[in-house]
Amino acid sequence: MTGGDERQIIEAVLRGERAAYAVLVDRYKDRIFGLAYRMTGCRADADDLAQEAFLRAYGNLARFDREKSFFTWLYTIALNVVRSHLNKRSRDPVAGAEELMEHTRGAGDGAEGNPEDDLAGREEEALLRKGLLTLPLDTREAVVLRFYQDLSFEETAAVLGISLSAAKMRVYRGLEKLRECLAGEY
Amino acid sequence: MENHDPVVRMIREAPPVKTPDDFTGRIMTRIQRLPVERAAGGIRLFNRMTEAFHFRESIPPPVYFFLTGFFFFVLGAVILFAANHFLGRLKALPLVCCQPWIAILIASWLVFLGFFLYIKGRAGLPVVRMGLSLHMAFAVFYGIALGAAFDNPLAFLLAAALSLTGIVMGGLLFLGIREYEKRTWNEQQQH
Repeated sequence: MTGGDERQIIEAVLRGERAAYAVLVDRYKDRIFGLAYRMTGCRADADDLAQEAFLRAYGNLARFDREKSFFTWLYTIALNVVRSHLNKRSRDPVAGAEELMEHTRGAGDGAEGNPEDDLAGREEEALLRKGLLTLPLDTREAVVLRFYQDLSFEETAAVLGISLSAAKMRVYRGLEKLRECLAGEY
Repeated sequence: MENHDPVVRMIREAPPVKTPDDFTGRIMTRIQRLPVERAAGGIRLFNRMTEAFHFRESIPPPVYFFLTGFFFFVLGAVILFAANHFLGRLKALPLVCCQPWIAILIASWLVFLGFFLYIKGRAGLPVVRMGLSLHMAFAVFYGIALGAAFDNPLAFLLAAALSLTGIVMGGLLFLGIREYEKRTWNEQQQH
């Protein structure tokens, strides 16, 4: 996957070859869906939000500066979509309660088709997901990008639009809170 | 250090999230159904224009204002020249007679905004935005006033043309400074 290759795809889309966009969707769908899922804890929401992110990126493709990284730009759009969804949710207590029910219900949602996971592992995963969703939004974003999405600190900082030191601080603060959360559960 | 953290280990060992199989297909169906390509239209046209002139990278944003100011200055000069020939017929319309001076006034205003942006940089953007909004509001007001001055049902075309010129130019300048803001913001973050 190269920047030049992506640039060519983007240029093709802008020339009107809409189908070329499928290559970009295929390339990043797992990451964007994963990001939305880790941020919301709900597969249905993740599906809607990831789709919205790709559609928004498509609609704004002409504004994308092709000298920059598409992947960072797409992540920024996806995070904005997720943030706006979560902010709406936080103002809607009924929806918020439903979401909490969903992510505490079990660990299987995110690991569909993985029956070999043992019970302990699934419980651990469920606790981790629950802990993650209790983190403040900015801290959760940093942890998800750094560890679930495996971005470097530099990439995390670029996507979040913050300095490198601020990104590191958010990530470590998030880990600390997760540790406390997990210690409280055991 | 991170690799030995039990929480990081748990996160890294978490099962991957499976994206629905038909995900790409559903997105592409929605994209194909869009009546007019959303990436097309005015914004794409603007991008092509900016790309054609390398506006984004090579021309500093104050120059957009100088160029637009220059356009209005030339417009004022042309109308002033024309007015010398036709003024006799239009004497009854004071708004028309002062049209060249108004164009020159707008030119000066835009050049002033350009200088302000040049001197203040990013910090000057709120003032420049306000100045541009004033320019656009004035274009609408003046277009309507001039249209009303003519006793002709087609005068609204004149009003619309004048107002639209101001709005389109102001809009393009707004887009230009927004690109500048985004770029300088990214640069600030990188530093």
